[in-house]
Amino acid sequence: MTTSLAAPATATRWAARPSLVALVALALALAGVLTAPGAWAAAAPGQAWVRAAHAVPGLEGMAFTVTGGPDDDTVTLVDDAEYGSVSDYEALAPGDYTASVAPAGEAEQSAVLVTSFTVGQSSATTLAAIGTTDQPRLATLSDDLTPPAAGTANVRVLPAAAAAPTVTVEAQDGPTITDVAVFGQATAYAPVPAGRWALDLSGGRKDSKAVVDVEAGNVYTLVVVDGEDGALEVLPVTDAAGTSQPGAGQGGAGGPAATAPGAAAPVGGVQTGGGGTATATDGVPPTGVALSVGALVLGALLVRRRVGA
Amino acid sequence: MSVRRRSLLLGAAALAGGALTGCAQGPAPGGPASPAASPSSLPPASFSAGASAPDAGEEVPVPGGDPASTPQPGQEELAAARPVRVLVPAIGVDADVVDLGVTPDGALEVPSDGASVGWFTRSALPGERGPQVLAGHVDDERGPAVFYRLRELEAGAEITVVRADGAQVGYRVDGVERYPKDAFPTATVYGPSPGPVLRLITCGGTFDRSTGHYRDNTVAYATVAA
Repeated sequence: MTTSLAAPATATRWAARPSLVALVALALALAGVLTAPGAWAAAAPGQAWVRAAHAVPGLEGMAFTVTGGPDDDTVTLVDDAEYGSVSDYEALAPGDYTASVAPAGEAEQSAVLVTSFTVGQSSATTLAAIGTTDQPRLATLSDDLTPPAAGTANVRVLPAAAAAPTVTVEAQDGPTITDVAVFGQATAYAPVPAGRWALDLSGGRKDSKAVVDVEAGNVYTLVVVDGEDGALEVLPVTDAAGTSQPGAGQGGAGGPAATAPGAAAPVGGVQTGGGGTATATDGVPPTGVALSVGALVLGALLVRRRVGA
Repeated sequence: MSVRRRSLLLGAAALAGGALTGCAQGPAPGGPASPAASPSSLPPASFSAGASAPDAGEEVPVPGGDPASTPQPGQEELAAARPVRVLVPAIGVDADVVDLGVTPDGALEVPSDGASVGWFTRSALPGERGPQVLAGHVDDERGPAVFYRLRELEAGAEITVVRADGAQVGYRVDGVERYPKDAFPTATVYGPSPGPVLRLITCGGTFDRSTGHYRDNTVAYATVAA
């Protein structure tokens, strides 16, 4: 990541200097891009993960079906989702799909909600039925797979309680996860230190409490749903799991992890070779070599032209 | 020499130097890096062309419940679920799996011999939600090692990971990528996943004799089979 960001920044700074320098800077930036494919390969080769969430209070049990993709598949994500439930993820081939939501037990043709969506490789999507029974809608939520900072998880809130037009979720002695989130709209992800947290929920007819366990390196959605007697309840669901961190998740109730965990993942590449099969012609020459030779030739030509002028 | 020309020359030199060393890993502390095992103690690389799945064991169901509300597995469950063997028939891999941690400077450890595959113990267990990371050598000082043919893997190839309790988890290859080690995509390889995925890592690209290391890493990506 730093490599990819550094190159354009360098180019920008140098662009104010004379034009030849700018040309070299451009070449540098280009070389940085081409020799660091990893920095730009945001998505790993992989399937698209898709799941369904029923977040319309008062709406009956619903079936979520997706059709399409490269093989024109039909996949039932869940055949009878009750209010306040989130299905497991299904792995789909990346591509274009149509999602439909129909009353459980009825044919797909009687769908009450339909939407089209496109999913890329190693992406995560939640098809969320949200809103009210009068005005339900099917939202395509993008689930974040960005690695959380060391010792933290990424947490968002999906407010789906009829009793609360807005909801504020605060961890006791900890971060405010969302402040005045609007019913039916998923919030952005917020970093939350790993541990067991007591949550205060406000904005409904009465204030409520909940307890959630948060593991470092993971990504969560807290669905806020109607509980009994106007109270709010939290349904915690895991969006994604990363590499675990020793010492994380050991905090007591209401407090963050007691020990500072280490980095989430090992640093850099892996030294998995001894060279016994390497030869002078082994492997493809790095793109950078060709680029560098080209740049040297270009530089020499330009210098010759100036000297000759 | 004009300022402009000097800038150009410096720029071109920087471009050449930067690109030429762009894939190289710095030498390991204490001089040229040495392989983890001495050549005399290395067993021949294990290739069993017709790798066959073990008879024992059964398919492990992918966890269906939500881990956020599931209690942490105990030590016994962890011991039973850890990977002990990996089979990749398409490239003739049938190897034992050892545990890997991180080195003092934070890099992923590697197996001490060329025949074994290592499991990063802080990555996901077989069939568990998240990335399971396995690393193996492409070669040792004498010849091919367990992941010598990893670069040949194609999408759709099957991988089986056997757990300590004999259960098997099947994965299917999504693709293979190669990255310079100094631009290793940590977030892509180790980052969070909504479901069980597998990453097989080895070395690739050209060998840097000055450091004793390959300049690139090859990574095979796989998703749990439905």
